[in-house]
Amino acid sequence: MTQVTRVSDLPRKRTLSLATFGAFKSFADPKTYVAFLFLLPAVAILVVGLLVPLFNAFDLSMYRWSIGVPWDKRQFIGWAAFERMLTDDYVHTSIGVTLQYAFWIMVLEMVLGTALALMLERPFAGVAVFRTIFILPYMVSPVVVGLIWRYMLDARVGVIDHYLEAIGKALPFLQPLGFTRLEWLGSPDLALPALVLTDLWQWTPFIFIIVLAGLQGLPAEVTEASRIDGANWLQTILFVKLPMLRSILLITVLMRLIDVFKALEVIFIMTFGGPGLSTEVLSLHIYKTAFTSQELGYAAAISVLLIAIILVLSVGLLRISNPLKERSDL
Amino acid sequence: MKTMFRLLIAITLLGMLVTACGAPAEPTKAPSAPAQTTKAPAPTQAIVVPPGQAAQPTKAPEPTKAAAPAQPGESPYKKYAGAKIVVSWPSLSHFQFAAKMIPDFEKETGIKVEVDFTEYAKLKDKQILELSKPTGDYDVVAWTVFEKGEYVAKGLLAPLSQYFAMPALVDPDYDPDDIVAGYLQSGSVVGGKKGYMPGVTGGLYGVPFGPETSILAYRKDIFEQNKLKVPETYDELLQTADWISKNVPNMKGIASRGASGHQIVHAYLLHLSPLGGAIFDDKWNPVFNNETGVKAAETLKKIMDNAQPGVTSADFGAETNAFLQGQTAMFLDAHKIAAMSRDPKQSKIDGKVGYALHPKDKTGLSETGGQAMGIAANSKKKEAAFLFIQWMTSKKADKKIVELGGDAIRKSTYNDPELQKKFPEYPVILKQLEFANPDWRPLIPEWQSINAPILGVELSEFATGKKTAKQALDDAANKVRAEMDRAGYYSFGANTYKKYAGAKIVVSWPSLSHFQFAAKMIPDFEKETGIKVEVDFTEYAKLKDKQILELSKPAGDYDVVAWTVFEKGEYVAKGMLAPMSQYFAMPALVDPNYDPDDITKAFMYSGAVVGGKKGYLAGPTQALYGVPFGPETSILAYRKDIFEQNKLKVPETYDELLQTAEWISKNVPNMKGIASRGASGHQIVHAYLLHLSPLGGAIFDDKWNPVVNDATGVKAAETLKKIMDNAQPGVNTADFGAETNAFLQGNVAMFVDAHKIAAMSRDPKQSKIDGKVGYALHPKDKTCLSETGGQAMGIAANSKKKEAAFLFIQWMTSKAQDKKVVELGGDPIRKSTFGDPALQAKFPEYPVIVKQLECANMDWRPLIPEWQGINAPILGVELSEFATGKKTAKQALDDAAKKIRAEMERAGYYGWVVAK
Repeated sequence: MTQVTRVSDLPRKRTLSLATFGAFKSFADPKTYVAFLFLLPAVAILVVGLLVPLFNAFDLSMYRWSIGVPWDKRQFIGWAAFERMLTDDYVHTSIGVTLQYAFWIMVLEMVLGTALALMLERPFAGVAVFRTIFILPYMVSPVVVGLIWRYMLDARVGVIDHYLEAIGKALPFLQPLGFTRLEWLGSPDLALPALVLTDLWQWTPFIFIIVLAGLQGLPAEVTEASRIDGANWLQTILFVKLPMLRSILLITVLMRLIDVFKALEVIFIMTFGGPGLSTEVLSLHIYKTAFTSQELGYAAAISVLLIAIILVLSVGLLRISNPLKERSDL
Repeated sequence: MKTMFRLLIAITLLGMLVTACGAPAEPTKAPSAPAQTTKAPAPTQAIVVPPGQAAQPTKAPEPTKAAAPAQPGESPYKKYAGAKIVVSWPSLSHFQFAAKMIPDFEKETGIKVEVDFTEYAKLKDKQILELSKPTGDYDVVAWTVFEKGEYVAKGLLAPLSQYFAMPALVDPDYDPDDIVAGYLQSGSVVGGKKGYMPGVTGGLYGVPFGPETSILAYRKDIFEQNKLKVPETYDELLQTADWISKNVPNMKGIASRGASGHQIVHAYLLHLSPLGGAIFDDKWNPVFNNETGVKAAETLKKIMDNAQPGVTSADFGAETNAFLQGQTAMFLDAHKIAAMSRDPKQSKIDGKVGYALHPKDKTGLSETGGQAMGIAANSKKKEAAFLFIQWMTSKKADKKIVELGGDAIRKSTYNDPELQKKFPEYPVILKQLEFANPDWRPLIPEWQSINAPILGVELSEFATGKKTAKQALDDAANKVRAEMDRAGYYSFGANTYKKYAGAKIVVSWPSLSHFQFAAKMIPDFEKETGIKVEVDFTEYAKLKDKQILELSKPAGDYDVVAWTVFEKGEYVAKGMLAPMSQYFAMPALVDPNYDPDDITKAFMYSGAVVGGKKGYLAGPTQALYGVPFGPETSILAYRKDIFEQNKLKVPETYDELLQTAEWISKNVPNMKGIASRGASGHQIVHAYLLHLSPLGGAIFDDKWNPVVNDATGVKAAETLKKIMDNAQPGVNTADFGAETNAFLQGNVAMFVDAHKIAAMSRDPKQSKIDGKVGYALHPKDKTCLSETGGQAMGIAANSKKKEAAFLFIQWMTSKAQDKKVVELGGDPIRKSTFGDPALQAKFPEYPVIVKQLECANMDWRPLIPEWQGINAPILGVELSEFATGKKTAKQALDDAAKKIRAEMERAGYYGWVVAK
């Protein structure tokens, strides 16, 4: 609730405020209704494209229905799907997998992407080449990424295992360290790391670009001033650059977080959730429930749960630090 | 103003002119809207359809209008030439080879074909989407066998039986018995035992196309070099695999699948079935976590331990690739491996592969899988689709597909010596198919949510060491039970009915005695189920007209209809009945104690099975469209008192029958020998056929040539005449009512016709002879065959409450109600009722009926859709001409045969000669 009041407080100086929206008389004021008119298309798209499907998903979760059965033969089951979700250990495991997957991706990608950006921030010979190379994976379609990595990680014909084994054979003392033929995608302990690795490969560049853009937008005077004040390279980064990038980093985290929770294609191609449930993220579990098990109602109920989880995490993140608010304070 | 007015009139007139000209150009409307046809040009013009519109397949399924008769001797394809059908096929190799034959089909038939190839993994999603629209894009679809239960239960497929019930569409050389039974049953029979196995309630929904079973493929070179014996049992298989992995460098013992989900379940079931295990017991309790199930999981683990690297993420592609690239010495899975091993593009081992049977353990059972193809329920070109499927799976095409690289479905192809030389695996496959197990996985609609989502996860947890076999299977069993419980498998009864409570169904019944007795049971049904029932009783003679009218509307008034058995072919061919098989494919709707095998086979087949041999008999292409209700067969009823007084022997043969009848007519005062029907039309035909069948005659031979005028046919007519000469007075106008009345009023001493006479003779309101009647078998001549008739009831295809209708029919024909209807005065359908000692004491005819039914003839009259135009209109007239002395028997029957041939020709029965 406090969130809402804060937001409504913030554009106080401007004529367009939430308060004026409520008052119909101010619609006589062209400033108001013109603004309203301009907002209308966006609102309409939001309603049609977001609120309606959301409501539909919620409605669907109240029924037992599968594709191919006439809609009027659906069976009303009320809250039964949500009750079932509470005791369904596959859903619980899947939430756990999703959180693990998201955690490692967020941490590793943010650290790596930011580090890379800081490394390539200053111009040096061939920087353009490096930047381009680092951005390349980001441009590959997820399905292709999935296929490339699936074949590279294959235990029978994969290039990674081929070299791991070759190195292990050349230097036998390395073998206990994993330099043998590993069943990357067929082992419950390695499958999720393999997926994290794939995601790192593809999405670190995204973070890299954004942070790089942020870095280049920083006022040069500030870093210069810090250096004059005697801050070393690390101190400049930790106490000057990163705090100034804070809102950009936060938005990046938020975007990736939502992305990761929706991730489907790469996992679909690489492991399809296996072995067992070890890589079954929630979005894949929803897909399987809907299209393999044909339990669309139950899948809709799990989708509602997924939305709730993302919402809680996003709001939590924004409450820690709201870039919108900070900007308005500037 | 005046000018304006004129202008308006001119425009209006112009508009009318345009509309008037437009009317004849719209051929679909012309026949159904008589008001407009008056304006259309000369009627001849309406018949001459421009060549571009010659094929109006959209019109064909319209039930009320019979398809426009083909020209005499015209190819059956001609009617559909120019039609375009769309075929949905997976982009698997077999289908790609088969596609090369399509130009031949197009050339031969004039039907255009567009194939929509879809990636295997996306096939189902795309098909379900198309098939569940009111009108989809697909006319023919090929599915993987494990989808059949779901597709049928959801009503997405048109029963193929419906088209086999139109003999004019069926190639007389098609020979469905030649298609490997194991393939047919696993790929396309739905609704039998357990909902997915063969059985009397089953129906055919497609033809296998690219099917498979499992065999063992092994590297002959490796086995010879190491002097290994080809494993015949699972123990030997495991030992050999282990030995090879340890002793042959760079080689593993056996290829396997193992990826989480569907793949590992496939691998598990492949071993579970020969080890003697199953997923469910007969009551749908999961039993795969028993000792055998655990042993199968451990066997799979041992196999995976000796399989190619990366087996825990291996799908079928990785499994075959490991064998084809020479990384494993054995391969136990789909026999497609043989064709693949010969393809140099993917195989390094061509010529080095030997084949053997799937190793045995408790059983020698192999898997059954692959694809089958059928007709989309929402297709508008179903006949053309049928012709396509029939052509593609004919004997000729089957051989050709094999030569192109595809898989055979026919025994004749597997047995072809030329092909066996080319494909060394054929004898092994054919032998293996004798042990193919259609029950190696439960293809119920719920299988999709059990297969990958539950078993696939738990088995993978076991294979990757996260759980023990017992633990994983126990967890899976609990989840499977919960899933089955949700789907209602353990709560048939109140829970099943609850879903439909409050629904109101309308039942169309003839006002015959059996149905009036049965109606007394309806309040019980309403109380037990909450489903409301309204019975619309219609006079027997008007029943069909009224039903056809209702059933051919887009939405009719009837949910359940009872028909007289000779209507079944016509009703089904016109698409007016929903196949019962579809509802028997939803095990949750089926009363576990229903026991369809307890229903007398002769009744079931004659009244409700359609689409088998000749279109109306039993056979591999059949489906069930109803359940007999008030059925009959013929027995001999005689007056015990008269026979005893005159020391007469009860006749056992036709000669004795005729003699006895004549003796009684001459010697017993005020009494004639035997009652008979004889009225012109349906009645005299019934009487004639009643004798034709035991004398060994028939209306048609196997090629649909009328043979009714042969020596036997003439003899039957003369026999009938002799009987009529010794029958009650007025026999020339006697219908069934007059016939029974003559016997019940004591005017005649014998009666050979429907066994209903027994119940009637006990009814004091109509009978004077209660207690005086004895029963014996229908007299024999060349055969002992008796008639089969009466009624059956099924579900209207245009009903909106089919599930409730199914529950009503199931309840009415259950064991308990069958006994009850008998006590009320009706006729039973079940062996258990006929065999009940308490009832046999009450109804002395029961043992005779049971005995007679063993020799009941389902083929005593040809129940093809054209029978309506032959029965009364041709045979009924000609036989009457003979009986009343206007023609000799030979003359009358010759005339009838000529007319019948013309009728059959018009319907296109002889067109296949032209097509070839």
